Amino acid sequence: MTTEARIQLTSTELGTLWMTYQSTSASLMIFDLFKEKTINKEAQNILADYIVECQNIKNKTVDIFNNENSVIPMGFEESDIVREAPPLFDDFFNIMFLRQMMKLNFGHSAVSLTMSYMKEVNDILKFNFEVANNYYLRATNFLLENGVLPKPPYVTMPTTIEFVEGRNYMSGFNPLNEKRALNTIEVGYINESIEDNIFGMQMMTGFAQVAKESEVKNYFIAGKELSKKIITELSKILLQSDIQPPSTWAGKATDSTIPPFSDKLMMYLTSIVSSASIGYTALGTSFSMRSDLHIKLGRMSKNIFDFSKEGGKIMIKHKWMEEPPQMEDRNQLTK
Amino acid sequence: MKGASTLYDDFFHIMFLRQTMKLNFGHSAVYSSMSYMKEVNDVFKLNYDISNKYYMITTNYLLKKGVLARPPYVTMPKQVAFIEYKNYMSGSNLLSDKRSLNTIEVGYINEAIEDNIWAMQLLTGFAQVAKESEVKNYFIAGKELSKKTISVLSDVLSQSDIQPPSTWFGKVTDSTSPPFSDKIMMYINSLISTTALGFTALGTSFSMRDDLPLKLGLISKDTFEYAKKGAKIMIEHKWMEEPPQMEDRNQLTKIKEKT
Repeated sequence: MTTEARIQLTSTELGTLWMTYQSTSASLMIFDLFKEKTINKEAQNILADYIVECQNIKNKTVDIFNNENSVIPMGFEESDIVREAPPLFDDFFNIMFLRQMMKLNFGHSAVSLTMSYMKEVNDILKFNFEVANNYYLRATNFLLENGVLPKPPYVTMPTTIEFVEGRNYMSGFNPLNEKRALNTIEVGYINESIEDNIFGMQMMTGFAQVAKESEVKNYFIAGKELSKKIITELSKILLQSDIQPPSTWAGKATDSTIPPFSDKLMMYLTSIVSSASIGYTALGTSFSMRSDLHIKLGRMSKNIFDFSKEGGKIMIKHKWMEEPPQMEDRNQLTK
Repeated sequence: MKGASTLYDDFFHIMFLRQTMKLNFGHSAVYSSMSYMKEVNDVFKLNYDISNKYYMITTNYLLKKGVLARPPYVTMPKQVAFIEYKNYMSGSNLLSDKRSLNTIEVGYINEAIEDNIWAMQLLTGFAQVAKESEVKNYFIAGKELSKKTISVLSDVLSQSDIQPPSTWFGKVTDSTSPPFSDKIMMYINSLISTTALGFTALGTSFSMRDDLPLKLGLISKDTFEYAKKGAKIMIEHKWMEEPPQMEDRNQLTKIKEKT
């Protein structure tokens, strides 16, 4: 903070830019490596184009840090990847990875935007959203064209408008009661969560294969189990409403056990995926109107939260967690 | 009711627009990630672009008039640090010194206070003009919940020697003639409660001091109960339009058997 009287970056903007820098620098490393390992030309082009934009976001973020005389965070760099390592995932998974990261960026830039006040900060976040949207669409189309992305279930279009009348619209709790069919908003969140967890499960499988530290390896195995449990539980809910859960066999980890990423980078990715899924589950819970869903999703959130906290502890223990910019510790300063 | 007298002042009208744009950011982000068809994605993208444009216009308007509190400033970091000490995450021990907040934690807490100050004003107005007494009481309960959230979170900031945001502007007139139907007021209230839940969960997951998830968890629980109660009132009065339903196969196969 300069002592000059001018409008400057606020603490919350600094925090959100810091987070943007972390995830952008991680994406840059991951997708640069994936680009080299991807065989399919079209997939490779998508990744190559994305890297250009990603570098752009990183540069703009650095500009603001420089203008405000703030240190540039470390984030992730060349030392977090091993270029000689054989591919850990297949081409489809590499693009699925991009698609999932773009989904995270949607959420991240939307939330950060609500905390932005300075035009320069808003510009970066907006640009981040636009890039995420472009590459989300390109990745989605690529996967759809290749028939490896299941679309959510179709539904008969409504022809009349109705208001909820039955008191038991919200119940679902009593196992003896017949539960009403799910509404399309509930299906949306459940389907999305299954899709994300199928991805999470594959990602954890690959990470577990290559983690160096045994503690980290076990953590990824626990993550894989958690994903599997969530997939099973949510698929059951869809099936009860005669809806087929999404599933895909494409996009998976190879049998490589040579790490292409540092444990630090893999732990970071796991942590942002877990945090996003906590936020997402909460939103899904709040839009669900059947009380059995509240209970199931609530339990799920608690498990993800505990998992994520455990990860935080491991990261701190190994000094892998970069410290977010801190408020002045006035106690310390006055001591 | 276009003839009703004014319920809020001009500043509040713009704040209302700003808050609604914030909600739209979240919605378009979440829905974009569930879209597959280009036409659908285009709608969400347009929604996002418009929200972003009007969020900036309203924010600048309010800043220029001096009625919007910016989040706290902070000394820019001079070096990169990795967390070394184990008690970075502790904070639940009342006897131990809590570390000062990091800027991400401040971001979420500050945002939640800003949103709740607005919601408190909104619900004060709604409570003044609601027709049904049940709805009136519901809005009063919401106002109390907002006040409680503001005071719990302001305490957290104050403990770290940070001044909580506050603004005296944007307020309710003394009108008691309803400009809105109870139905639309209940809908707006439900929209902000559900978004608050999502936001608090995200804030919780990014908080790294143990005492914060505990506090935020309690707030979430109260907000959730509150939202659920609101839905019951809406259903009771037939104010809740039914979201498109999946085919009820049980029902459809039953009818077939009868005929």
